[in-house]
Amino acid sequence: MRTERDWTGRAVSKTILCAVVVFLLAPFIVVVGASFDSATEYHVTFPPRGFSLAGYETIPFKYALAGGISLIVAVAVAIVSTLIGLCAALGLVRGNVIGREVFQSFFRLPVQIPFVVTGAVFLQFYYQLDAATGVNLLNGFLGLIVAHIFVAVPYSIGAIASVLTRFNPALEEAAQSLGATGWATFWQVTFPFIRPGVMAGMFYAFIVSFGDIPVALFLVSGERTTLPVEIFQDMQFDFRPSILAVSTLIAVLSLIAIVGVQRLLGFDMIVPAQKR
Amino acid sequence: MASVSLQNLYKFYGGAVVVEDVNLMVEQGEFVVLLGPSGCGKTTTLRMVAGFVQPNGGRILIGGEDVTYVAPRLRYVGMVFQNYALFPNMTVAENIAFGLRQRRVPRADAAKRVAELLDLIQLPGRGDNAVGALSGGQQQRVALARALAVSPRVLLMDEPLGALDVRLREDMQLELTRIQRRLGITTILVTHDQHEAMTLADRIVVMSDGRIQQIGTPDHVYYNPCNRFVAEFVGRNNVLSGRVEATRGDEALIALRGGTRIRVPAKKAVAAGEQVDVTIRPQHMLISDTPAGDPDTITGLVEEHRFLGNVVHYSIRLPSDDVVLVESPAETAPPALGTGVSLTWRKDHALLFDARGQALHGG
Amino acid sequence: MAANANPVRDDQAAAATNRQPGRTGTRWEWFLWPAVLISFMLLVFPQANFIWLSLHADLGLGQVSDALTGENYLRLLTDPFYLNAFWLTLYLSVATAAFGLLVGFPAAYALARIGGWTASLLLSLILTTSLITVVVKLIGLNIILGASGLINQIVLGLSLSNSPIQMINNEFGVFIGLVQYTLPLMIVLLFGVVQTIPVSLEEAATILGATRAATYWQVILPNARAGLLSSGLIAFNMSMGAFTSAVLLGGGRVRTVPVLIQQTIIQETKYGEGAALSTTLVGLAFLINVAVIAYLFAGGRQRVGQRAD
Repeated sequence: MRTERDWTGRAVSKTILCAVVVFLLAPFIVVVGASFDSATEYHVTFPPRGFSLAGYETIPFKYALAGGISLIVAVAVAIVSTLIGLCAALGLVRGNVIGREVFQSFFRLPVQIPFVVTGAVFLQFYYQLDAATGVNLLNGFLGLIVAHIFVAVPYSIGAIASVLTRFNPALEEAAQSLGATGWATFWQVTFPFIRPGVMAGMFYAFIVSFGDIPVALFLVSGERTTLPVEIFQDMQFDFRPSILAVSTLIAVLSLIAIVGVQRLLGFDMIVPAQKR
Repeated sequence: MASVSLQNLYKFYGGAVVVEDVNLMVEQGEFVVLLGPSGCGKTTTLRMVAGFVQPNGGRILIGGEDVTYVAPRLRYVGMVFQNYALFPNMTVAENIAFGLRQRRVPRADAAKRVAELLDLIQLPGRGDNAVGALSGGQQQRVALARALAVSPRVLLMDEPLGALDVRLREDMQLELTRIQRRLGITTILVTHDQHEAMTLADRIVVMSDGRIQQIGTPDHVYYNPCNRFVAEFVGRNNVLSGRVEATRGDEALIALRGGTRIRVPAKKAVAAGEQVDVTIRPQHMLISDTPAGDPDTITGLVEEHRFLGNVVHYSIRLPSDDVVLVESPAETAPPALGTGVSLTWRKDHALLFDARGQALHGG
Repeated sequence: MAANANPVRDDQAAAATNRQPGRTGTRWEWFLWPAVLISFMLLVFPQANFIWLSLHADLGLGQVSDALTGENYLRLLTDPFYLNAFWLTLYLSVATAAFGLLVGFPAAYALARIGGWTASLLLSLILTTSLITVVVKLIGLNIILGASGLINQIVLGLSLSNSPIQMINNEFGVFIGLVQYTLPLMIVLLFGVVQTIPVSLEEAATILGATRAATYWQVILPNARAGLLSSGLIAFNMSMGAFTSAVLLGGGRVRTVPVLIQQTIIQETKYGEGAALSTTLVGLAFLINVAVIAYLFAGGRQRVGQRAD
């Protein structure tokens, strides 16, 4: 039962909460608003001085291309890292593993390494790989996908493991005592239960891959790069209003996707589990 | 020690009335138990006394002082919570001393008081233990000690024994009584367990749907329930429905479902044709050989019997298809299953209630 | 793995296997190995290569010497330029973590006590801001904090200052960016922490006479200590490695170590030095993590009498 008294302490906390929410939302609101600005100057002003869709009309094709690249890479990463994550989670949670904590820490390692470092590490690795075996992963999607998988797997494992640990193995035992094979048990009993975790894992892997800048910056350059990197570079060297338009589109689409996923999976799936 | 007076208390949440017109006077040193099923408003009432819930109407007086709008920490009441709410970051001694610390009691005095209380709750020398190291019963006692440390004028307890197993609960009930008597502290305890209420209370306040149903001593409430709810909630009871056929003096002739007629005392006026209920406690029913047809007897078939150690419980199925519970001392030889038996009772053990559940037996 | 026709025998067989340690779920361990193998290959080979690289001197244009040498590391530890960079990165990260706790904890507390669907909604909103690509946020921050941005418009408009306040292309801007980056996650984590502190604890403290402040300091904070430190550590780690915020809000002038790593490797192609920078950064962060966790455990041991655990 909640306490009714509104002590001043509560009032202070709530004020801080409001300030925080405003602080965090402000940049997005500004970007969205500025994307409709009719000003044609090269630096941005806010509040916008007039309404125009010029920003949207002048979106260069390269953004669409980069967007497509980001999408494909992210989807590939999501699928593969979730598969790996599923295996790892099943093994960790269900298996009778000696030194389980060691494995858990091992799988959490990629998160401890800053993205910049991961980018540099994989860049060098690909150079060596090319020199040593002739397999060239440089400046290509495959190399980027592999590096992103490295980073995303811990998130998948975390999401799946957290659902898996809540799953009562007695249900599987019941199924097996009723004559189900191992595979049948898995697909008909276990998987439906953990599916939200699997999907959350895919979702996180997708987000991590799509939103990454440092790793992609190191591994993919030039004409064909991911959308965030494209925007990043334009922000630094070649600003134009269409950047705002693209950013707004990204923000809106992300919001829709996130809301959709939350509807599907429920709120607690969205809270990242790998930190535990 | 202080008295507690609740006057016309009301509380709404959203559209629902949670506490309605509660009036109660708790005397100094009295142990009052608020008894009722979940959702009856007893906990809300308690929390209003504590100050965690603001009433929408009415007044609360502690020691004659109107505290309705006073902050909880200034009311000088002690409270024991359902889940104990011991501070995990402090030792047992630090928990008990917490209230003293807030009042800037010097360390030496506080230490003495803590030792006193540890003796009172029979955990001497455990002051340095972490609270997590204690068993449930021990934690509960520490919670009690913590509440008592500042010598509050009233003690409030919200289902404090709910988490304990039965044996422990019974022991703790005796402990609570002992401590309360010794300190003479005005106490209000909330519970849904009527055994607990009967054991602990000087007076019981039976609540349901936000209203007080009856206030009285345990035996008064047990033997003279003022309505059907109280009759059924406090202790086990059998309820037989029927219709008034005739009245004569302060007796009514009731035709039960299934046809049997019995005579039941009726202190209040009741008209022929009215629907009524008759309650008879299981232990007041006697299985006898009196042949059927004798007035004030009902007959039935023995459907089940259960041996419980000190008593035997019988389930008797009546012709009306109702099942009646009869409790007999265990020495009597049980009739076999399926045999027909007659049930009689002392006339004044049958209580009459009208169609709305109100007592007609003048309780 | 085919089921036998006789369920009873299956049961007995299953029961028998259950009694042998490690027999049940043998299948599950096998799943672990492919994952471990792949992760291992992706982790160890590149890292080993990288560390090996850091032990070689740069010869320019991406070439490294053949001899093993510690000169890269030596240079990092002695050259004031690098020492400054590490110091900058360190104190920005600590400031971000500290500020995040200072602001995030009350916010998380308010959220937890509000509860219900309002809290869920706000929490999702907050979390969403961190799931959208970080560039979008940084562009917005640029607009708000810039010389002709929103805040400066207000400042100049109200004549609070004669010239625009410099809030981007400097450390302050980076700091704000780091807070934007780490705060959402911190609030989500701290929300979980506050939820482990039941309201009844606060009520108990209050009824015992504690003022709001006393409840906060004596009951709420001590019980949240472990959670606060671990959330702070996470924010610290994120800030230590943050690249994009430092570049876009620092204008290239705020040379934190992540920025230097990129410059060293991509622009200057000094692979040895870049590698050394990276390993030192990770090592430093790791050591600080270990130190804080050790402090947490030691503090916990002494704090409360004899623990049951």
